[in-house]
Amino acid sequence: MPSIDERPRTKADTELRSTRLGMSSQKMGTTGALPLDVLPLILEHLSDRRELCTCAQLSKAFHHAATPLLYRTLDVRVVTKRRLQTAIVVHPSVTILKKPEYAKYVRHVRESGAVGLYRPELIEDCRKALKLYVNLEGFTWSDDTAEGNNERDFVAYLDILHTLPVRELVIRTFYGLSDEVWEMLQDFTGLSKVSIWCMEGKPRILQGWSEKLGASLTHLELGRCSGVPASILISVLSHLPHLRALRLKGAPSSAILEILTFLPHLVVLDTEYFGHAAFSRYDDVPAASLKELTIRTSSVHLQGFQQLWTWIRRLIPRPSLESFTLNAFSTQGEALVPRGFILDMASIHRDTLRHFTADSTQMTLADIECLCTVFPLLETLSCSTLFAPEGAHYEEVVAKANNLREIRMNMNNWMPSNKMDSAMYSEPVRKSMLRQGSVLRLVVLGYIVYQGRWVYKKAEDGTDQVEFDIACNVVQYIGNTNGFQEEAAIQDVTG
Amino acid sequence: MGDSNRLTLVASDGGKFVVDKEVVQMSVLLKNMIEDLGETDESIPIPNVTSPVLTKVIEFCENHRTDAARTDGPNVDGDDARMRTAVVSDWDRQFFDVDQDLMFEIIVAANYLDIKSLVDVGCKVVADMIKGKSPQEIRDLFDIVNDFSPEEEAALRKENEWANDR
Repeated sequence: MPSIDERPRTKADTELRSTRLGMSSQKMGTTGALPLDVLPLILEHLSDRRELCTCAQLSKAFHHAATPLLYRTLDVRVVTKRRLQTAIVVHPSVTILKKPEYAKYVRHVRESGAVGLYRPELIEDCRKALKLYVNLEGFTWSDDTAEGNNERDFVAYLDILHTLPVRELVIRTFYGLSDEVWEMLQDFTGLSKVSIWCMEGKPRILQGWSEKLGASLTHLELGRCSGVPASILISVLSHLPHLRALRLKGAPSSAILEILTFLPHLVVLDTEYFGHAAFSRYDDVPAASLKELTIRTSSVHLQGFQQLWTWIRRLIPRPSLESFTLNAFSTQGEALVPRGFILDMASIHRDTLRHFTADSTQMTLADIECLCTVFPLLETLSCSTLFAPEGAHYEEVVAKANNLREIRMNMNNWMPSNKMDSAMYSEPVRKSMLRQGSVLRLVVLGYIVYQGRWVYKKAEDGTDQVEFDIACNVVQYIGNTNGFQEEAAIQDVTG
Repeated sequence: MGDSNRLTLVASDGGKFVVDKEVVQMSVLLKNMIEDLGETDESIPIPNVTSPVLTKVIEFCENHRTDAARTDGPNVDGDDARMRTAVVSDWDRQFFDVDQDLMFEIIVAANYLDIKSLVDVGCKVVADMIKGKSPQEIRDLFDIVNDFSPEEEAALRKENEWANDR
């Protein structure tokens, strides 16, 4: 693969630039104006592979720099559309078998049950390609078919994975895993991440496997814990002292506090809260100092979320929390975050909390103002509030939040907030962004997104002037017979 | 000199810059060099960086001297780390509001001096310029000549078909 840009026109430029920088021209090669040395570092910031794909076709030098990044994560593409007779399956194995030199770049692979369903003749190539990924770190199997007929393909992949240095296994299926697959999985040791989400089947919570993973496992996600007694879950997780991130669905709330008492390194927890029997048998304090906490819950009680707030506070007893997310849904009117909870949280996490997300939970403007005041480091805030048709003084709500970059407020869902007048709020938004000490640049009110930035504008005398510009993005949802049609219009309301 | 908290850096063209040691040490290369040299009054030559570029690099380091502690936290998750550093501040954007040649020279110098935060911000600014543009728009922007033959280009499109979502 040629790595040096051979354009004759720029050779002189290259030398000139290199001389100016005092570097040897061999070291400096350029691709246009872009220095080749740092090109891979620039491309690292492109997370969308379509962007990498674009870069790979710009020139030979770009292709050389973008290809290792583009082939780091391989994904099968399956297109099913009603107008198509059969699904289109585009699989990277076709390229890999033609260009086996790319295989060494591959770190993560996602295989899908859909390949076996629509293009069974491709499976052999997929297996051959997988064998070539000598640096593979992670493997994802996803299969949304109901019957599990494609599990034999997964079994074949697992056989190959045994020969590769894989450290992360992610499984997403509709059907439950068979005993055969489960037995095969238990032979994998040295894994750092395991994630299993199956819609059906027996709960699989690493019984008998966690002992073997104890020395290495740092990330664990179990999507099917419901029905598992707290004592068993606790026993399984007690073999995993190095866990740093844990996500559980259906785990009994009474187990959570106890789990935290023996996971000293845990910093990320995502779990559910069930209103009953939420307290642990033990009155111990968590060993974990959580930095990111996500709680999902729903309530049918008239009194709202009984014991939820006390339970959350017990999970995070010392200053540590940086990000708090609450997904709460109540059948008895709007779920509310009590003021007392905010103040109690602040008494401990005042100097750490930077992100607060409670989209489905309603807060009054006074609560939001309180939140912005008692958490001085707050950078992002997302919540719901009541739509105030006569206009509210949003700039006062964030008047003390000097680190706040983004605020998103869902307007109460039954209000016609898509008919809100964007110009109505542009002045308060401008004031809050330009207030002395403010770093606020993104304000979302219902469907209206205000984004502020400093821009150069030409003044009448032809000189450049710096002005603060707020772009307002109005997104309207218009219902029609085919469901929803999205219409976006960008308008410049100020500046 | 006499002031043990300040150092003199000498750019490739001979330009001299007296800078706080704390600021200089944001460069891992220079930090190691200072540790190896021990207490010294000698100035440090930076043969690969010109005065205009060094001026900008020092301006960046002086502005960012206090936030080193904030970014050094443990990264739990790759995605999360990326999200946390995804924002380029207004100051950084204005800092890089210079002509392309100087912008790239700053990034190359930061890479040579091993100043991670400056490399990161610079690369992010350039990556943002690439995002959402067509191949031809990017070529025009950075003066890149397409050196593929039409056959090679067609083969390339076929090869990366799996990654092209549209």
